[in-house]
Amino acid sequence: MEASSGVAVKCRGCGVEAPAGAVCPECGCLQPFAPGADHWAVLGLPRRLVLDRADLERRFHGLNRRLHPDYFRLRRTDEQAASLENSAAVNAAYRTLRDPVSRVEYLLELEGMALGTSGQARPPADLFEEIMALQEARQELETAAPDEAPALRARLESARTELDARRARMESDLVARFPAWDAASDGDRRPLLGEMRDILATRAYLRTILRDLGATLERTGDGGA
Amino acid sequence: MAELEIKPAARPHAGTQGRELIVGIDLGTTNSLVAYMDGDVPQVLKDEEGRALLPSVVAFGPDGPIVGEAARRQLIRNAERVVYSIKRFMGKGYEDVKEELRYFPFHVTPSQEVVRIRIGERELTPPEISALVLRELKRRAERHFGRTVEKAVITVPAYFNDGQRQATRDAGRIAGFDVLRIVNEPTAACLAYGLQRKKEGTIAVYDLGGGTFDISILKVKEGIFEVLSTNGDTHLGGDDFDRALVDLILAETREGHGADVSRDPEAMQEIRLGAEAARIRLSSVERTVLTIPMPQHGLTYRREFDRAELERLIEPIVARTLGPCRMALADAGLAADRIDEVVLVGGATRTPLVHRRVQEVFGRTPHSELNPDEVVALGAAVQADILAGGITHMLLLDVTPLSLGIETLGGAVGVLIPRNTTVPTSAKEDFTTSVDGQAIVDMHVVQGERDLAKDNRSLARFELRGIPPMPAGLPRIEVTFLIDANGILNVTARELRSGTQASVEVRPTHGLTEAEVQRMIEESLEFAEQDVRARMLIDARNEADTVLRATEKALGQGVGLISADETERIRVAAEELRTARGGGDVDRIRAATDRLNQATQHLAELLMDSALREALRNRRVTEAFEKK
Repeated sequence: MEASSGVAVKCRGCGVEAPAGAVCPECGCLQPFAPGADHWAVLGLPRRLVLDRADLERRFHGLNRRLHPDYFRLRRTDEQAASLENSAAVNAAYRTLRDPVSRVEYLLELEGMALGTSGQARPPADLFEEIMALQEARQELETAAPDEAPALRARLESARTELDARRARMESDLVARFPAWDAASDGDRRPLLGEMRDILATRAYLRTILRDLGATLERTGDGGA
Repeated sequence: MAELEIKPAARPHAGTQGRELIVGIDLGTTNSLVAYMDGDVPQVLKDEEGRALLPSVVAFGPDGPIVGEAARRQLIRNAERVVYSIKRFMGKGYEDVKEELRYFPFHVTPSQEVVRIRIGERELTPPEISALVLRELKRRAERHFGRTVEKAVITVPAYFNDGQRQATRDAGRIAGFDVLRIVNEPTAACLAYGLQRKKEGTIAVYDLGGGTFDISILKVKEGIFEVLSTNGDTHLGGDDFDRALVDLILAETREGHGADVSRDPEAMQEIRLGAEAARIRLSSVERTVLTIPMPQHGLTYRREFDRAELERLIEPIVARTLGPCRMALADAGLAADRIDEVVLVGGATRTPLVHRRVQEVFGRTPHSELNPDEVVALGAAVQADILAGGITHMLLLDVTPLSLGIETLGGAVGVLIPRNTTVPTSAKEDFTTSVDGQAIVDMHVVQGERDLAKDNRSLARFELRGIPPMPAGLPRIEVTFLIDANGILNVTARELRSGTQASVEVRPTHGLTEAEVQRMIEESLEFAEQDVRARMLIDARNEADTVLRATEKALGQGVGLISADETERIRVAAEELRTARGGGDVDRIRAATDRLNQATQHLAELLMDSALREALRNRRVTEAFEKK
């Protein structure tokens, strides 16, 4: 396994060419990652959306075995700093890439297409009316009389199950587009990313609804039961 | 008495030769321990009486602070000057603790910032009191190794926030330690188990101590201990079980005897200790009688408790641990049936009800082969050995327990580092100015999961200084928030347009400033010197006593062996030593001891000779018998 994607830096210990993010073959001094190295580069991977989770974990563990600050306690201060930075970079890379959703979000960010905060969350067109009705039911439950509450709760619970299933379907739909992006040429990639971005926008909306629903159900849990 | 016997050579301590000496310390709410790596096996160090647990109790007497069992024994008669469970106050402000102060007989000064305990004229912060406990453990280790011990790994509850971690590290520094690492208690326990069994899989560590609760879920694979998630409550433990009992006893004393003893520190302490002892007994027996004499109130509280009754009392407290368990599972993305093993840590997990509830949540029998009181210290010793370069096949990858964020306009929180992120980890954030020529930018850093800054834990206010004068909005100050492997936050800042390094001034909300810690370290050094002198005096007196006793014995055995003149010279030297011993001058005691040793040299030789002759004679007799 490679520590970095073959980028070389000038070793700050002895000045020879050394692999970025790894130990210099000449003097054994730890090098920082190349400036601007993305999460894939840090883990020694090409920029791809299809990733094998077990392989990611192996890289994460393997790199930490070589870079973790525990092993650099008695080394020079600059190496200690490099170890801290490199280890943080590896941890961030693994955390971001292991989850398909945060992986795409990160790619969108790199491509300047980042999804902003909630303002860009988009309701699914076919569900718009249903969601409006749900929001109403949710508010009703907050102030419902004890005899009305169970029916409202039941309705909200089933809506939650349904929306959650839909969210899961959107995520598999997202992942299903990964191989196409990996295979596409540069020119074809942007529209593919745009589609994924739309899925994410709708998903973000669903998540907000689900969170609100969950909060209401939890808050009214005792009175409604 | 001159020494002529041959002492056995001191046993070298395996595993400490050549390798850097780093001890592992479990600084607990109720008890503390120190451990080290003896070759491949972690060992807890015991005191002269063979006890591994040092009660985390400090008594402030006229001759200075006393720590441990001796302090614990003073809890009742010296209630207002004996501090215990100080861990509950670490990294806290007065506002955080005032609710529970009624359970404590010692006094806390109301203040805005860090908690201060008032002992007579003095005021001490929790790190200073914890430092006294740590210093006692340091001394224990130094006696064991026969040299100074300066480096330590100290454990904290996994759910401790940044302020509580800093306070613990400060305590270590004040005690004279170089604190190489702050390790999470459940993770340390897992390391100890991992070293012992080398088993792999997904492990849940349920750690319920005297005052804190943690749940951590780890994945162990090929020597990597990766924490997937952690949750907990830093204000929940065996102490709370006792309080439930204390409240019941107080209510019954009021009803049954018409006496309100809650304002009497001595009675409160009696009740607390009685409740604690009864609660612990009920873990192994079904029923027990609790008797608390309160002669000062003309009454004796006496009552039988059975386990079921205790369980009804503590049920809601145990239930509070279950929510965090479910959250930890959810954050790890695991269903309970994916957990391969559940490990119990902490004294309060001996409670049968805790066992049952943990079993219900995880659907499997929890286990605790390693002593739940010692396993955390043992794990700290393992981490110490990793840092010393001893163990190379194990590596711990822990997480930060709480989300870290900054207060944004309108009082909301912008999360920079989400909870359960593997550490070390860093996040960068750009700031700018709002006024022309502004040289200082303020940031408020908080930790917690709530949406509003005011509902989270305020860690510190940071001031970025040294921003070159520019029109408003032009400077770009890049601030790096780095949480290191200790789970402690480090903040650095750079102004990107001019490339200048901005200085960061930290005002911890409930902690000590660096200047305060430095002052406390200096004070404790002075303290330590006084301490060394006191100890030297005790040692010199002990030696004088030994020599005097041996002299008396030798004079008795040696009647007729030496002249009356020589006997008289010895008696004079002994008398001089007795006088010197009564004074406080260490050098004088030592000199008098040496003179007595010289005066008895001849007598000692004579006695040795006669003892040898005796031994030889006996041997000839034995041999004679054997030949027959």
